Amino acid sequence: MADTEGFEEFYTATVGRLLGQLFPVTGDLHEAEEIVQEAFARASTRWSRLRDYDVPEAWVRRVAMNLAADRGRRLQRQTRALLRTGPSPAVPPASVEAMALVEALRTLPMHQRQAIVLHHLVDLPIEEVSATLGVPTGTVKSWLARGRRTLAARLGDPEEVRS
Amino acid sequence: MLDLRERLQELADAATRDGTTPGPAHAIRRGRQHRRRIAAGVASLLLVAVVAGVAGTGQLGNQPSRPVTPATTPPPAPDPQERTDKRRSGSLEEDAFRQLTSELRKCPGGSSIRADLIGSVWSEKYQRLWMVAAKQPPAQGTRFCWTSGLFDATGNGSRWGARRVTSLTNPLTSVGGRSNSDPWVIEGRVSKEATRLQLRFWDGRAPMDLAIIKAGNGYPVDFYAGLFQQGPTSSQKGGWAAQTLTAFDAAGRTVATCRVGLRDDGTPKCPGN
Repeated sequence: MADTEGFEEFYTATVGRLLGQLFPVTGDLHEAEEIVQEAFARASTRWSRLRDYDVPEAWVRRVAMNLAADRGRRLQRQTRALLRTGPSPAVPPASVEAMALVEALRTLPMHQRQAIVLHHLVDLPIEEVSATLGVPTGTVKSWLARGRRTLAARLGDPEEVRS
Repeated sequence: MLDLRERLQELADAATRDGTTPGPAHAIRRGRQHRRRIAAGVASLLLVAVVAGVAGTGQLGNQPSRPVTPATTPPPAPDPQERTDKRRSGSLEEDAFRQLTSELRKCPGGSSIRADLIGSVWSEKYQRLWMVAAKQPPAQGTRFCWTSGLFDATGNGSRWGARRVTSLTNPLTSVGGRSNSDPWVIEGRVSKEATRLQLRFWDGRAPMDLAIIKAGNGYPVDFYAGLFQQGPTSSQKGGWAAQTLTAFDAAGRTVATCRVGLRDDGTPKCPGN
């Protein structure tokens, strides 16, 4: 059996969904595209093992989340001036409410963004978010609470925020 | 009411719709390049270890030590995903249209249907060009495809992905967006009846008229765009200053009105696309 047999089908079936999950984390569509493609490239080299996993998509998502965190840390090390003159993030058209959410998400630390996306968009239970991010469940709960509080404060109607 | 899950899903859908990935074959090639690079790295480490070992043995045998030559590995192949400078020769409009045409190739019909430059507007205040381009429906079809972008004077900017219009039931649609250094854009399509489009704000500033771009007979709608900055609005309003959009006909009658603000004040929300 070829090492990459079945990879194309897997890629086609999951790439859009993973891109959609990474965009709210990065806030930049091009960055999300690059990260997702890199995660799939890594998956392709291990495909002979990954294809036997129950959910190989979870492995790719985990790698993509780690890559996003690495890039986030690199960006933090850059100076503000560099950030100001760097390329503008690409954003797909969406309703103004969704765009406001992109802006608000960008103000959160990367780990809070990841926890919010994994729990509220990907629908992972706290335990799986904890396994994906490699932190205890209590930490995930705390990140989620803080993230939601910040989003509520930035987006208005704090008492009306519902998950 | 803020529904986090719903808004996250909308963002995810927009990214899925407008994002482009180079395909599984590219991922496989890139994976192989990684493997080759890792193999080359391991080989060079082994070489260094062997050379160091030989040098070490030499020292043990009281032979004069030789300098260890650093192992050389071929530089990694350039990543084909790297983005290049988008600035090209020619006028800003030509450049912008070329970029939009490339987006429109994703529409049904590919490059067999010509892309039309519907129009563009230049903002003196923000020094930005907003441009809209579209593709007419294929023969016997009713759906059409459009895209837009906001460009600075050098042709750099953000362009939206191609949007397919499948329903004309909404007389007024709206999407918003921005890039970090840009003003906010509000744009969409509007019924041909409309001759004036007004954006109202929460924060007490004067309403703003938006530019309507006539699309001609080949298209069943016109397009519009406006640029603005958010004001120092209170956090209760989410920092988002815009609230409602109203289209008027030549007689001053309201053609359509909808909400683009975050707060639900009873006005129906503007649909996207």
